[in-house]
Amino acid sequence: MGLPRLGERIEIGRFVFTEALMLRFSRQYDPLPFHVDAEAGRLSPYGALIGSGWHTMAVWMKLFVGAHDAGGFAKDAPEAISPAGIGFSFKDLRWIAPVFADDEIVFSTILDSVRPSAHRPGWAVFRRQALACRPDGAAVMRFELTYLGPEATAIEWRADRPA
Amino acid sequence: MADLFFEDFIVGEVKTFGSYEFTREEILAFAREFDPQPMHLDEAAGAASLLGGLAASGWHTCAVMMRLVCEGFLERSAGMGSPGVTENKWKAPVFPGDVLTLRRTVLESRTSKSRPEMGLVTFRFEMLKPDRSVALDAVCVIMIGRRNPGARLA
Repeated sequence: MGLPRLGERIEIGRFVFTEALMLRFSRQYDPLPFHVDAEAGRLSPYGALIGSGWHTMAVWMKLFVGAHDAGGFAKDAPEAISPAGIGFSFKDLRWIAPVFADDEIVFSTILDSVRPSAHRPGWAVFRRQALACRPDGAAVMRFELTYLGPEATAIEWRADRPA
Repeated sequence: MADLFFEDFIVGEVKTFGSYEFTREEILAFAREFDPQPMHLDEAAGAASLLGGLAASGWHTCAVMMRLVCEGFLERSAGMGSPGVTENKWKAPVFPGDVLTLRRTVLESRTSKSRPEMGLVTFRFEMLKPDRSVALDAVCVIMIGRRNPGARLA
């Protein structure tokens, strides 16, 4: 299976935050004036409508799940049921810069550590950085995620497999 | 118009706010869009998973926490955004039909030297299940405008 690639940044995808997508998320979950009203955004310290930071996080997860491939596993195998895994916690979340309408954001991750589960063969506790940047590299968001996941579907192992 | 300012958040104060029912439809819709792992999409897969049943994505619980924070007090506060979350723990799964409430504890409050018009308030937000067990425990920092910007604190 090869060794996990600790410390290496892997891009998991890019996403354009259209105003329509930003508004739909914010109206349902984060309806503060500068997230749902263009005029309120203009008058806010941000100078324009900005996306909810929770939307940025959710899109990181969307792309992270999408980077997993459970192909080849039985439908009822743990690798197929929960290819990314089950979250324990995150910490040190920073919303470093706002996301504006039509911004393209680049999402990536760095695996910091992985420790085989003592109780579940084939599972491990992963600790990884989640990163969101503008295409020029300017940071928008980061956090550190800890979760229990199957080893076989981890994106670092998959990246080591021959094509 | 805001009627709650930085000065109104007293360290040690504990309050509960609102309620939100996680419907099966919304659990599925959120998971399809943001966390499409079968354990969040399918009863059989959920039952076979470590969650023990079809359960909401933890990111969905975070989003609903924010909704209850907005409805509970932030929409009528002089909120100016958030620099981040110190720590967030998912402590128990949320199942279809669960109605959660928000418990808010004010942990810390400090003014900003560089931005005298606001202060930083650190909150513990807990999402409580009907049996009062904690589904999610988050420590969040929110920037809140001061009632009299620039006034000297006693």
